[in-house]
Amino acid sequence: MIDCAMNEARVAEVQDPELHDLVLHDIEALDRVYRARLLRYVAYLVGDLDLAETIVQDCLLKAYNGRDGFRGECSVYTWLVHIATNLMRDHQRTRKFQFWRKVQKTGPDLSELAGLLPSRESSPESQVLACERAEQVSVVLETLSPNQRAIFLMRFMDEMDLQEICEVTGMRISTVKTHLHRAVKAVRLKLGGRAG
Amino acid sequence: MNKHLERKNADSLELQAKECQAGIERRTGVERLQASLKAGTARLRASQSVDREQIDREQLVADSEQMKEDFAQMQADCNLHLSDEQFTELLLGEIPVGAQAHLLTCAQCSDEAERVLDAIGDFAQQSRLWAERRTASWPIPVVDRRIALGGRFHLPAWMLRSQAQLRPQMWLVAALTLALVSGGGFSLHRGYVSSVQRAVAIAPVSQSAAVAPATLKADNELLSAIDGELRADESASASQYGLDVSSSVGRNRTAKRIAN
Repeated sequence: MIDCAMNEARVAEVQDPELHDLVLHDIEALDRVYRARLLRYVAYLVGDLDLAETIVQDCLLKAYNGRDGFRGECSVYTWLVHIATNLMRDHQRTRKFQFWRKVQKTGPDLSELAGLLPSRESSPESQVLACERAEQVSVVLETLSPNQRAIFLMRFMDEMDLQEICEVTGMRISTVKTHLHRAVKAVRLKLGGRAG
Repeated sequence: MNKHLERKNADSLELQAKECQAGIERRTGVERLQASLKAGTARLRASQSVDREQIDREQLVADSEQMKEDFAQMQADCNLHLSDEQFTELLLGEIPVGAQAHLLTCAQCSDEAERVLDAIGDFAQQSRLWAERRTASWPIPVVDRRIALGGRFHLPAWMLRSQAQLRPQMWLVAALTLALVSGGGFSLHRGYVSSVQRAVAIAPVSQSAAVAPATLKADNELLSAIDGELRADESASASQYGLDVSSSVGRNRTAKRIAN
């Protein structure tokens, strides 16, 4: 029953309130459905894999322990991103984090996946080009401000609506659009586009 | 009588003639009116057609001006390319009408939009693969089952932390333990070595104090006898190779030992 619910949840992005309950009341389902997405989001934001894994585990536990407080006004993933964002803020306030951030930077390394792209790109040359393009976007992300990076990831990686982004970040929609606009402009410039 | 009858007939004939004349006059008037009406209608129609032509002409001029403006706008759109705002809206899926028309005509902007969208798509795909691969070997977060079973029991927060969360602290504890163990072992080793050294340093004194001169003399004799035998063996074996062992190291060492 839970396995079936998990598969459906992966496909339907857990929009059904009954599936919300099923996923939220089983820590394994919650973990399997959301941990990869959460790790991607958090790892690109904090730039430290060990810390990102810690935050994701903490986020899942916090969500599970506080599942009674979930009112279903948004999707489960939006709720989890909200919790993860607060946890990241807590970590980033500590001086220990700032020190280790200067000492080491071990963000996601996409080059290790150079040969693992699915068959959307047919030829090896196309795959190499796709990897290069993805690497360029990854490099641009490091130059963005935390807000711009977070909003870019939420919009283009997690495909969240602008309204959902507003709920998670607590910003107005005009502010969100401004951050997105600047992030897109930086990506365009990196990819050889012209700024209009 | 006849005259009276003739006069009546003449009057009636005159009346009839007058009536005929009046009828003829009325008919001609109607005909005239009809003719004039026809002429008026014709003139009216003619004037109306002139108005229509005028109106049509004005409409055509207005339309052509509008078309000129549209064409100029399209030309301006083609020459200006998409602005940053339009480009962002395009990536967000909100395609403005002007941008859509521009993309149909401008290869540069359409190529750029396609390139940026492809790059973002590739990045999303690769980062998703990376995250799935990274989390494939993760342990599932450890949750206290008493909490999962109804929430009646509450443990302190630090007890609910997962293994991964405690990783830095665990490494710290492991490092401290290792340091303590290695430091303790080193100190034990140093203590042992010093005790042995003390024992070695003290032992000759106690032995020299305990051994009697007679025993010492007997030992020296025994050692000198052994030394003599050894020297004989050495000289025999060395003489085969033409060597002289009269001043060998072993003898000196034995002599020193005996002197002590």
